[in-house]
Amino acid sequence: MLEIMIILSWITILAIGLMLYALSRQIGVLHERIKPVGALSMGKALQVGESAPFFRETSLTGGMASVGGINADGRATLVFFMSSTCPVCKNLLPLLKKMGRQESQWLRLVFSSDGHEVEHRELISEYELHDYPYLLSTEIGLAYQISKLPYGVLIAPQGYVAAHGLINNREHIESLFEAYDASTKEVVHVEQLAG
Amino acid sequence: MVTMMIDPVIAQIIAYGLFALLLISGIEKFKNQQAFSQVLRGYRLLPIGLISSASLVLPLIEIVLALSVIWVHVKLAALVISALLTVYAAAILINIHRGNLSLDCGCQLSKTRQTITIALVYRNIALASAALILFLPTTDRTLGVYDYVAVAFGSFACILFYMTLNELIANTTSFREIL
Repeated sequence: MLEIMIILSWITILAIGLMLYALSRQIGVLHERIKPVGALSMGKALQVGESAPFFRETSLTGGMASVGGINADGRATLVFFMSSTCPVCKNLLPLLKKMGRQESQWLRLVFSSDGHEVEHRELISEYELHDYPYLLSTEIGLAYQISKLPYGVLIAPQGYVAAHGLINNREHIESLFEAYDASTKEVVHVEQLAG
Repeated sequence: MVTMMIDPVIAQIIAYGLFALLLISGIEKFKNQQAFSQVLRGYRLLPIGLISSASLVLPLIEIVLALSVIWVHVKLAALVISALLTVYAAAILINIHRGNLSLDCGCQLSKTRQTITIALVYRNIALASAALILFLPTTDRTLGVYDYVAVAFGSFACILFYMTLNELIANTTSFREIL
């Protein structure tokens, strides 16, 4: 009888232990999911109107691609900073592709990330990102002072930062476009005043 | 003077717990060697030239220690394990004092990054002290079936509690990042 009690209490302890572990893991997963929704606590952030740091790098999808600087075809550039390990980033990829196609008249989409090349190649084929420049460089993220992901920086064709911000959903992307519209009007206005 | 003695069941639970801990962490570091060498670089304690060899040697040491705490020499292995854990604790403490708080602790190499906290220092010190318990002489008694049951369940429970503790430490860190 005592033996059964001993075994039973051990099993109970282990079961409780397992449940406790599962609970703490669930909290961890929850944190991961809602992580990027937090407030923007940037140390030094990018300033709208500043000239965007120029980079010319080999794209994982082939060829060379540039970020920053004057864009000859007159389109603005949306640089999407992401990580292969961030679930929110991945959720946004189909939406970004769709918006990139819809707005292709005036917008060029560039993906930027860092880490292991193999993982990103897998991501590119999984989400069919072959048509977009995909840059793998820690320097770009550092130069643009990206501290939270996923992050979007919208660069005007003239090479200045038009808008930037954390991207978690469709509204965030649209608000970047709105901020871009506002800033271009402002620049035109300033140019008119200067002229 | 009465010397402190521990029951062999307690000693075995600790030994198997350390065995699992070091074996898992050693294999994990081997599998993610590149990530581990980046973590080592982040700690800024070793000269750059030594990083790549250290990222191979440290997991090897962990695995050797894991095996030797069970099969070779319990006391000697326990002493080295305790020293190794203290070194890890010191490495984290040094970086906390440097203010290098966004450093990836390398606790979960295959998963998301986790920044260093003082809780990790306490955890390592607690583990190092547990390893030192193995240094005490064990009482001499023959073990029955229920002792082995206790060893098996006890070590499994310890591993489970350790994993939960780690998860809780990781959660407080990730919670701080949200706020």
